[in-house]
Amino acid sequence: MTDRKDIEELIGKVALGDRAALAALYDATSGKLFGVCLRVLKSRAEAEDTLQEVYLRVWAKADRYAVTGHSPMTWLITVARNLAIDRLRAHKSNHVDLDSVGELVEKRPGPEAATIAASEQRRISACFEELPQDRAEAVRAVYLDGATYQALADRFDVPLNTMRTWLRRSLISLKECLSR
Amino acid sequence: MSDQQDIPEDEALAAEYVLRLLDADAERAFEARLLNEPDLAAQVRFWEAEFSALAADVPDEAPSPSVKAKLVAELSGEPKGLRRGWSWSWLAFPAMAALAVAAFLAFSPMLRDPVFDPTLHATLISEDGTVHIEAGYSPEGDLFKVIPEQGAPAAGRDFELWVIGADADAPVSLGVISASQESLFEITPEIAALIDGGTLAVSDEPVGGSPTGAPTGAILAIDEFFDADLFQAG
Repeated sequence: MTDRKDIEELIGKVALGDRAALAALYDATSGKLFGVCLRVLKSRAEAEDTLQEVYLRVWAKADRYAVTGHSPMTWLITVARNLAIDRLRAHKSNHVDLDSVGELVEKRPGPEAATIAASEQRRISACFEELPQDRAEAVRAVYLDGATYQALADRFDVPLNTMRTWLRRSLISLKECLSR
Repeated sequence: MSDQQDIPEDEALAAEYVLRLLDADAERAFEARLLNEPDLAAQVRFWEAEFSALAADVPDEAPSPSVKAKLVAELSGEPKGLRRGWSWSWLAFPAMAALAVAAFLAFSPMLRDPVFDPTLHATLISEDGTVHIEAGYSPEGDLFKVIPEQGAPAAGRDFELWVIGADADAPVSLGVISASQESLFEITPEIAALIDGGTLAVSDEPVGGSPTGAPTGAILAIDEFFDADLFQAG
């Protein structure tokens, strides 16, 4: 399968205006990025529109990729997730249906997972295990599903400010663990 | 950042920003800080990298083939880096582009102040490095700011700025600029419309600017406008 170096090379070619490279990049990465968009938007039509936006953004901004210092999949996932959240906010005014969150969380990684630095993934997974389970679940729901503080407060049935304090503490614990 | 209390506060805030937990106002305020605080930007990159590993838990999904078809169709209608009737070979200098990015990162804080909040930037650096001009555009009030960092026109000459819209055939003058002090001026909505996706250039002209309405002297430097946000958000 396409590895990090291949994807980096494709992004480099895209930056020079190589359309074939963008098509190859799409073939190599759209499964993962569509998965990310679909997870946030819960609608194939919305996720497909966003996916197109993602690759147009990549086309326009590939020359800026290098300065982010990110691995190529981190950059692509970050672009995809941010555009998906933008769309979620624009269309659904912050409503996130969390009913489907739990069942997806424990699913095994897809085949493309190998493109993500394995050590990074193990590290964040290990650190999530140090958090109380519901808090780890809340952070995941925010990243993967685009949950807001309000949605989390409703789900965990606590006041908004409590939820915020809770999550911020979890983030600081997480940072402490990740920096070890 | 001397107060110990600030450190975890900013760490959590950077994570909230990356997670998109901040409301639109807080996001804007945080982005304003990002341009001036490299440590905070590093925190953002840290969280972006860590959280993106969570996407490994998301199963791949196959989008409809029509997405790729539409994408390819859209791109084939849009030549990249080639502007009809406008043939500066700036793409031949990738090193200059890298230098421009580095210069932007170093100088962007100077483009920002409380009343002027640019969304699009351009960094003009001449091939020999003797001329360096930073520019920013703010849609609020259609304001354009120019900061001459280095270089001055020869005696009896002036620097003139030009905007070339993405689909435009000819450059439009932004006027002669001072090479000794920064300037902030309002541009017309017609010119403002050219900036997003457009290109900025500086040319060497007779005092008072080009007599013809098009560049007559050497093009000293050129750069596409880019938005600062993507530097931070990936």
